[in-house]
Amino acid sequence: MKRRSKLLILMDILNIIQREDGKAKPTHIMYGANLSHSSLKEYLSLLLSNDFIEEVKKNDRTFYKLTPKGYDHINELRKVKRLTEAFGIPM
Amino acid sequence: MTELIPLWFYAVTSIFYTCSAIICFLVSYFGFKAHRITSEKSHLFLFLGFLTLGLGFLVLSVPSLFTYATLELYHGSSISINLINYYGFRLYYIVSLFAYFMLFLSYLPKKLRSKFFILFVPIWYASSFEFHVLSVALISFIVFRCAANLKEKKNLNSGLVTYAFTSILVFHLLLLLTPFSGSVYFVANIFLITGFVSLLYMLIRVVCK
Repeated sequence: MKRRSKLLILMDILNIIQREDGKAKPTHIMYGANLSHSSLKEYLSLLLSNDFIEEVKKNDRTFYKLTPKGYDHINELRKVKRLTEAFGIPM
Repeated sequence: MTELIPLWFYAVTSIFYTCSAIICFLVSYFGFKAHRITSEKSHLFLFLGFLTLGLGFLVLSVPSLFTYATLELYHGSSISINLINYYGFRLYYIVSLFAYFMLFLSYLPKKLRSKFFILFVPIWYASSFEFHVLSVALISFIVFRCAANLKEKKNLNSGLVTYAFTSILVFHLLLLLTPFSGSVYFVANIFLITGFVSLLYMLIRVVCK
């Protein structure tokens, strides 16, 4: 099985959040993206620092929500993924 | 070749090359986007490859248009045609060989890339027969990698890219045969434009899906 690149992992995380109506729990992201807890924290902080997602607290629970910038980024990533797949040059 | 190929076809090929150049620039724009996001060198080579290939086709459209305009519209001298063709084609050879080399590099495993830069030096001096043979060699590798990708992915987009590179390969192979038959020139250019149309269709699918 091939290793996913950092970019593909970030894309998986953004996809999972979008699939759950733009707001997901960290455990859902962790299992959905098949990540360890420490890796999840690392990737989430990267996405937070780039304003692709934001942290939302509701009833003592933490959620991660896609920002408009995050929505734009995931769309761009999908186009790039389709293009690179078509050419057979991996991301 | 002017006796064998009708003059109007020079105008048609000029349009073909301009359209091919525009499609190349579109692919290079998306290649640039991919590189900006991934910072991968292969995507940089893809961007540079299609950018220079587009420039090459733009350069190639000039001699064809000039030949048509001079002989058909202005009935000018063949000396100026020969001069424009000489410099136009030489510039096209250099620019498009650089483009094919960039595309070749984008498909080359990372470890081998630095070694191939040294090999590029003699390519600058190549022309005509040598140009087509070198182009065929470089594009054959790209077609092989695209076919392997198509076998793995089995999707239409990969098929369209494979067809596009195959048609560019056939274009160069057929141009090698033009001294024997002028009609081959027609077929070569038809192959080229269908390849770029397939590339355009792939881009539309990538952007609009």
